[in-house]
Amino acid sequence: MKEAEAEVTPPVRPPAAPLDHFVQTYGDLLFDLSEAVLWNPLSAQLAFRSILKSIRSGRKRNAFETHERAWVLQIACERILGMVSRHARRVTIEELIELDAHGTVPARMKKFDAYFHRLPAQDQLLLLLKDKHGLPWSEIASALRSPEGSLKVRRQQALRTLEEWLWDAK
Amino acid sequence: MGREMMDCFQWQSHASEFIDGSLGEPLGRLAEAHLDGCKECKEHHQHYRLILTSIAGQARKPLPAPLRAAPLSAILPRPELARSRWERIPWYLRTTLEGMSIVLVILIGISAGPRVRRLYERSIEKSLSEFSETFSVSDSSKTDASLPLVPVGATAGAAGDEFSGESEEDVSAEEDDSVETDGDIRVGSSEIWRFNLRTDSPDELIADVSQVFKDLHVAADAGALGGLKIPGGIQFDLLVNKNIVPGLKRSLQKIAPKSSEISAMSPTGETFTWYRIKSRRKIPPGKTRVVIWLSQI
Repeated sequence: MKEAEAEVTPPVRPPAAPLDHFVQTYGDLLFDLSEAVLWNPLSAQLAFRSILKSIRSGRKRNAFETHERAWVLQIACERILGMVSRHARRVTIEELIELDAHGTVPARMKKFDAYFHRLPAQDQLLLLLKDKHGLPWSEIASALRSPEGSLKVRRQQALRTLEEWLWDAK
Repeated sequence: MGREMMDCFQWQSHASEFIDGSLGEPLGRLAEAHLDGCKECKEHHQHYRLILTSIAGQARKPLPAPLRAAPLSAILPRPELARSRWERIPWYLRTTLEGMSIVLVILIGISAGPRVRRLYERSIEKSLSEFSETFSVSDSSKTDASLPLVPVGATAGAAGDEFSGESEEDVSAEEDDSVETDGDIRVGSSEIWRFNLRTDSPDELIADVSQVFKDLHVAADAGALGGLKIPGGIQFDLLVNKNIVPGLKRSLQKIAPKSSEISAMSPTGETFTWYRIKSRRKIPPGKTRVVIWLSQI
């Protein structure tokens, strides 16, 4: 009987991690992601704060979540993609004309940042998470809410697009 | 043996995993073998590596110290790039202004509606009067058609009764009123009588009208007694003594086609109408201008 009662007893929820824990553990990663996609330090600060607020409101629900980083990244990607339309710095018309103009590959590589930001924000996030921060596909798939196979294809397409802009531009 | 080779399409499909080094052993070896033999794919491979190196080499921005110390309470500078001046106005002022603007637009719409309608009706009336002047005064250069029509009768029936009730003394009295006494040309000092006969064959009525002129002893120098053919019908423009106007009206009414004969063709169903209009044009005393219009239906 005692064994049966012990089975029925609900598990005790561990206390939610303090917000400071997220700031110290993921602060640099989140801010760097925000800054790299939004391309504007001020907007990146706003995005970081917005991400933290979402984490604060959702951390109790995620108390049993084992994949904490994937969960944090999921929130971060959502918030960043949500802010892109209003707060991201865009490539101006003048810059676009300059990027499309004839030029040598080394000259274009110097403006790699601008070419990179011509990609869709989701592709930028994908490349940053995979190739800048070296995260595993499983976490990236969770963060961007897409299957791994789709993400691999999209990464390949993004690389092909960048290659066309940098090498095949006429 | 076919499985031992990898073509360019297959290599492109596995390029992402190949670059990561996560391609399995048989596929990885085939991809390596393809790269050794395909110059184009080797070039792509080098480009991809260069791009990925550039991405990996991007500087990492650390979290600013104030934000790390107080992530939710640190005062952040507002990014002004994406916000317009209108968006920077406090929301309570903005919504109040927006609401007032909407109310103002609605009020303006309500108050302007009747005025617009009045203007529209005025323009319609103007165009209608222009239309009727065009059709009633064919020779507008002679008669100053801008003056308003003064109808004394409209249809053969009703107007005819009114006209026939008017004695010749009345007409002569009117004649006396209209005679210029001081030689000043004023509105209404001269008058033009217009008789419109609608018919499907105006040519057939010419003989009848000429007979009427003969019966009333209209002088040969009164105008074109034979009529003038113009597009849309035939016109008689005469300068006659005022006292023959009632007789002329009665005679024309007799020769006008019966309404029932051509009512199907005429939009109004009337075949004989007449008007008297005022004119600034100087007409000799005792005379009046008569325009008879045989219009083709």
